[in-house]
Amino acid sequence: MGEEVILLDFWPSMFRMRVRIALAEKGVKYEYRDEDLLKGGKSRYLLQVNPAHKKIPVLIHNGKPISKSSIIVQYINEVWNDKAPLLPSNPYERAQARVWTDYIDKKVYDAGRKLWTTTGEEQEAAKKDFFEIFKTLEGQLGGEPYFGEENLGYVDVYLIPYYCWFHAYETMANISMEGECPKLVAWAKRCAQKKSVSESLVDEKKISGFVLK
Amino acid sequence: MATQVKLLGFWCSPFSFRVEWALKLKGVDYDYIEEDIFNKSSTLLELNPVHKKVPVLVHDNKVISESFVILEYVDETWEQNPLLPKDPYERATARFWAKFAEEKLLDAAWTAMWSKGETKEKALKDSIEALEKIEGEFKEKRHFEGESIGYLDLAVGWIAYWLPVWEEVGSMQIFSQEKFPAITGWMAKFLSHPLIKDNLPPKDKMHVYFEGRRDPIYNYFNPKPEDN
Repeated sequence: MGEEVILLDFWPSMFRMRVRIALAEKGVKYEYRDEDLLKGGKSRYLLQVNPAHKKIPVLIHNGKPISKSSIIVQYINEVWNDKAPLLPSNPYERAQARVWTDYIDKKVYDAGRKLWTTTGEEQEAAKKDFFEIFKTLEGQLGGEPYFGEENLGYVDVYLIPYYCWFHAYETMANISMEGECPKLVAWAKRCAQKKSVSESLVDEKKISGFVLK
Repeated sequence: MATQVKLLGFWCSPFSFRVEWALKLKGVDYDYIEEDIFNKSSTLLELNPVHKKVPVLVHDNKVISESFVILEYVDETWEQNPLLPKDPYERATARFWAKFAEEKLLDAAWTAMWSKGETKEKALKDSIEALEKIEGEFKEKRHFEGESIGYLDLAVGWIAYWLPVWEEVGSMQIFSQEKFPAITGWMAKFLSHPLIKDNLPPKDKMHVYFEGRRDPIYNYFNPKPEDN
């Protein structure tokens, strides 16, 4: 079909994992190019295709760049719409999925980061906040196997990359994800059994190693 | 059963107005309920327990929050006068610039308005940089040509009307006609659209309101040493 799909990213980025999972769910073939942000300086290619944001991941489809993982995943869902729909067809359910990915965007990353950038009382407060967020998400799951109900959906794809950070969170803050959010951990393990997920998630020990550096 | 649409909003919130503009563009009848954000009603807290914010749209008992999410919901539910383009790449572009303006310009401009010293300097610099990128996009992509207002116009509409107020309240300058000709052209068109020009909050009241918020917000983020 003459499609050219390139994914520019940095390996530990959880935002990239979302895009990889979405592409895998849809069976899209793509070329991956690593942007090593730590080596300093972004490649000229990245700056050329993504001048506004200078951030990864960037998906380049037939020469057209799309950035921001939420936007990329929705784009992938709309273009390759023949299989594995990631968003429900009902507008209200779609809105709910978008509200929760927006919540994840605004809350999870920063809460996680605070676990290793704070100590003492501040860290205790950070832990409380962190679990409140994850318990809220756990509550949203209800009794369904996935946030997308029967199958992986937008919210699952959005949240699951954090699974490979659980080990780092647990090590840095001396917490137990399974202890506090068993249903969520069960959900994560269930997702990880899917090929699209297991092949896209980075090994948790590599993440911990990266964080501890 | 007739459709029932309610919107909980705040009289000078750009986020509320986005949704109102969208509903009006689509010709959707709705009940507007003013919410006192400083004294939140139990209705709001029940409808939006997680974020406790306005706007909140209630459509036949379905509750949707977050203004961008509401815009897409409105667009998908009432298909006349589409807000988002059909082409996936153009949709992605509109969504990107809406988020960019929100995260890089709005937050920075708001911060610049109430802050002082180094914080203000940085926020101002960030705002101008963000606006420059938006100017670049407006010049290049011509999203805003034509008669019909779309998702991105609604998403960044606040730049045309709220930003000048914040600039005055914050004694700062981010926008200028000479530096931002493409945005200037768009602003004039946007503000003269019949559905927009009659649906804007009163400017004098906005000045009073934001003037009144500036120092309390500053003090909130910069408590005096005795308070520590």
